[in-house]
Parts: sequence; structure tokens; C-alpha cells
Amino acid sequence: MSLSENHLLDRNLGNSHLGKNNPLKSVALSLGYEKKTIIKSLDLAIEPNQITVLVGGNGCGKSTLLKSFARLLKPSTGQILLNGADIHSLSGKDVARKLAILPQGPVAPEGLTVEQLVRQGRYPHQNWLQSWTEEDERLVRKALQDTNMTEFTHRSIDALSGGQRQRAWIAMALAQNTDILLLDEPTTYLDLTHQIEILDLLFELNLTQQTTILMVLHDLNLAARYAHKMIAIKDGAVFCQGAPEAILDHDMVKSVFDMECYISADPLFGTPMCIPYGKGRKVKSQAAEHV
Amino acid sequence: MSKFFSVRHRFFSFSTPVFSVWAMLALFAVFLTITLLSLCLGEELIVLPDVFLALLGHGDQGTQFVVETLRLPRVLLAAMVGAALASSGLVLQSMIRNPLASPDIIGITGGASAAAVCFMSFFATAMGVIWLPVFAIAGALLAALLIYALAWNSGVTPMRLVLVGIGISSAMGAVTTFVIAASPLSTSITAYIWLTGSVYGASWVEVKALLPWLLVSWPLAFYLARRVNTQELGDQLATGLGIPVQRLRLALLFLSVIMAAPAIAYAGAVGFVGLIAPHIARRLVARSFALLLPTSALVGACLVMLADLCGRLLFQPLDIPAGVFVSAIGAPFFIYLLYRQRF
Repeated sequence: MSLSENHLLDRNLGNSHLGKNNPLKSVALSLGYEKKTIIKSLDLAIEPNQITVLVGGNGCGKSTLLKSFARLLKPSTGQILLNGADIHSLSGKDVARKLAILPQGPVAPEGLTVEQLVRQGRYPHQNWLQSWTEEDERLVRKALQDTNMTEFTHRSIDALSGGQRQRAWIAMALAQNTDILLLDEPTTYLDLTHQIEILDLLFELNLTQQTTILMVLHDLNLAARYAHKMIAIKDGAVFCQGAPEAILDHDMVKSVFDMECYISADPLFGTPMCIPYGKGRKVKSQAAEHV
Repeated sequence: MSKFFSVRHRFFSFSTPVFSVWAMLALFAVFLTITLLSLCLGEELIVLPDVFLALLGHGDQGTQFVVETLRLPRVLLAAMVGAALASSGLVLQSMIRNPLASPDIIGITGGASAAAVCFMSFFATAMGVIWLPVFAIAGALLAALLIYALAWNSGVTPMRLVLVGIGISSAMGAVTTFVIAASPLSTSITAYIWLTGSVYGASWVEVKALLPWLLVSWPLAFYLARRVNTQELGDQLATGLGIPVQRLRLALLFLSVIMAAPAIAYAGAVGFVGLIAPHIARRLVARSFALLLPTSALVGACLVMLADLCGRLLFQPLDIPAGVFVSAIGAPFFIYLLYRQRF
């Protein structure tokens, strides 16, 4: 790594909690439901214009953390800062103009069409005197175009495949036209083709519009391929964070997921690839000799 | 694919499938037909030209009296009661995001009934019947408050609201039955007919008393329409889009009470309309609250008017309460709609 790259990495990752330009960060954040504490005194900063992925085992608190970043959950102590302002001091609409959230497994009301759904994304930009502007119309068309959903505009959500349905929800979030996009496991229940399709779509979005993306993903290998920065959560605390190639190794997987694995490099992308040990058939091949 | 009917204006815009517009026009035609039929038919048949003359104030004295004083207020009250109950049901179903909600299931009607029956048994002779609506509305409001308070657990979830509502509803039912059982027979019969729901003997007084409630609750419902649509995406997404979900939920519960309670107060506990009219409406027009509201209201109005017409005509000279026929007409029609949609 060259000196300048090192410097860049340092600026972007190392001292990020001191940076003032982090669009979203938590300060001494504690979260919990009723009496159960899930996150304890967490300081975390999300890098602008990057894709950040939260990884971790089931119940480690990553979804809870994402929810609190989206103002869906009030911290028990501490703060979430959105562009420097306490997110709970802002109005719901104010936040919704800057940050969009797509929760896990959303369900559309029966019979709702794709267009009706995507138009809901414009809600925070409207008031009751001026409910639908040319700008609203343009952004809805654009969101449908960007997600390749134009041909399904008038189709009912129930009649779509899983991948198309997820694209419709993402189109809604895009119509919200925010700088920050949070997604909770956007690829769950999708087949591999559609997982790649959704992640490519988000990668494109980040590339062309510099959208800051924070999402929870379960697939470590896909997370490593698409994330600029990976944050591993364990027991409600950050175990480590950084570029996937810098942090995704045998010891990290062992600690965070309590699983033995072999880390190789993705032959197509060069990003780290985690291959879990375990039972299963073995077929003699050159690749298997590593193990 | 279906064609769309769009209106784009700076302050006002919507785009809706053409079938929705046709369905609403057809529904309105049905509404007008039932209205005119109700004015024509009865113990004495009045032909259509005479009805129009009477409506314009140029009929002969006898016809004028039948149309203007007997039939018109009754028809209007039936229409308003149906529309109000249907709107209330739609508001509740949208709020709870569950099609199995209505003022009679969730305990609003139960509260009004219990209060009304108590009034009839204990206060009517002392205070006079005019106070009945006040008691009924207060009972409905109290029941709604109780439901909300008991469902509260750092916020109110739709499911808790429904379950607590069902509990309150059956508790109110017990109170009602107890009071009826403990009352003298004449009071019990009055109470029983009131509970079935009837617009018998309706006059302009009731029409004028119910109208202001609708003039307040309806615009409020339209004002909240966009929020209701967004809220139907689920709590998390709605919050993410900037909707104060809990506040909206309380507002919608209140709205459903001020829609249903006055209607129940003036026409008794007409059941089923609130549940079924929004369902029928959803099968007729596209899914948008601002479109479903007038459609449900029209469906509810038609149902109660038709039920009252049947009650007046079928068993002459008996006048059967409209509430009896609401289910008799509504249920088969609803099942027919479900059946047709299988293909």
C-alpha cells in the first residue's frame, strides 16, 4: 500500500469518529427493548458516499442498530447524529427527506400497484396544499427506470416475483430522493440471480449518485464484494471495521460467527472469500487440496 | 393493460384506472335508482313524475306530505347512516391493516349500545328520549378510549387494538343483555328494536342532527387520506417516510368513532355495513383511501337504503327494521363478488 493510499484509508476509516462530515453517526449510543440492553455505548460513524455493510451473527444487534440509525428506535442513552443534528430533534419528514429506510421483508397492501407504491416515496416532500408536482412525477419515473421497473408500473405488487417486488420497494426508497439509504437484508428470500441484481443496482446507485448506503447483509462473500467498508458486530459492540480485504480473515470469522473457515480470494473480483469448514461431500480436485 | 384516467393540476392530481371511475359512476347510478325507488314505493305507490313534482314543492298536498315528510327524511337518514358506518369501517380497516375490523367488531357499537340501553331503562322517562343520541355517542367514545388505554403498551399495535376491542365488545354485550333482561318488557322491546337498527319514523330532525357530524368527519378523513395510504405500508416504512404513526392511529380511532357513533345514535346499532361495505368497495375501485372512502360510503348508503326499502315493502303492513335486511342483502352480494373473482 502506498503512502497516499494509506493516508486515504486513515482519513476514511481510522479517525472517522472525529470527522465532521460523517452524514450519520452514533455517539455513546445504547439501545434496548424494555429491560434488555442490546447495544452498549457505541460510537460509530458512517462514511459519506460509500457502501457500508453491517455483518454479524443472528441477534447480535445489527438490525436494531440499523433501525436506530433510521429513527425507528429511540436510544435509551446517547445520540444519533444526522448531518450533525440529533435525529430525534428533527421532524419525521425532515429525516425522511435526507434518509430512506427499507426494512426487512416489507409487505404491501393487497392490490397496490407498483406506481402507487413508488409514489408513496414522495410523501415527505409534499404538503397538503401542493401534493403532486412535476418534480414528484419526474422522480417517480426515474426511480422506476433506475430499477428497471417501468414495464411493471401498473402491475399489482402481489403479481410480481420476489426480485421484482424488492426492486419495487427499492424504487420507492429511491423516489424519496435521499442522500442516505439504509437497507435491512435487502437480498433475503431472493435467489442468487436476484441477489446479484439487487446488489448491482445499489452499487450502480452509489457509483452514479454517490448515495451513502448502509445495509445489513448475511452473505459475507457478497458483503466483501460490494462493501467499501465492513463493520462486524458482536454482542452489541463493534468487533472490527474497515475495508473487507483488511478485516475479513480467519480470526475475525472465528470470533464474530464462532465458525472455522478458510479465507481465499474471489477468483473474479479478488475480494476475500470465506469458505466455511464443516461436514459435506468431498470431491478430489486441485482446489480441495488447500483444505 | 388497463387504461388510466389522470388529472394533473398544481394543487390537485390523481391517476386512477378507468375502471374505478366507471365503477363509481355505476354505483352512483344505483344510488340514485334506489333513492327514487324508495320515494316511489311504499304503502301508497307514487309515480315518478309526481315524486319529482313533490320534490320541487309542486305536488298535491297528500303526495307532498308522503314524499317530503315521511319518505325523504327516512331515505336520507338511511343513506347517511350507511355512508357513515361504511366510512368508519374503512377507517378502522385501514388503520389496523386488517380487513376484519369494523365499529361493531371492535366495540364502538357495543359501547354505544350499552349506553343507549342503560339510558332507555334508567333515564328515558326522567330526561326524555331526545337525550338518547348524547348517551350513545358518549358510550361509543368511552368504549374507544377504554380500548385505546388498555391496548397501550409503549405505543399501540393494531393487533392489540383489535383483540382488546373484541374483549370490550363482548363485555359491552354482556352489559346490554343484562340491562335488557332486568328491564320491564316494554322497555326491552324498544331496546331490542333499537339494537337491530331502524330508520322507522325518521324525521328531518334526525337528518339535520346527523349531517354536521358527517360534514366534519368526512373532510378530516380526506385530509388524512395520503397519510393513511402510507401508513398501510407498515409501521417501520411509514415512520421512515415521516409519518407520526402513533398520533395518526389515535386520530383514526377518534375519526372512526365520530363517524359511527352519531349514525348509531340516530338509527340504532345497524351491524355488518361497516365490515362489508369497504370490502365491496375494494373490489370495485383501485386501492387508494381517497377513492375507497366515497366508494365505501356509497356502497354503505345503498345497502342500508335497500335494506330499509325491503323492510318497508316485503311484509306490509309490518315495518321490519332495516338492520335485519342489511345482512340479508349484503352477505349474498359479498359472497357473489368473492365467487366471481375466483376466475
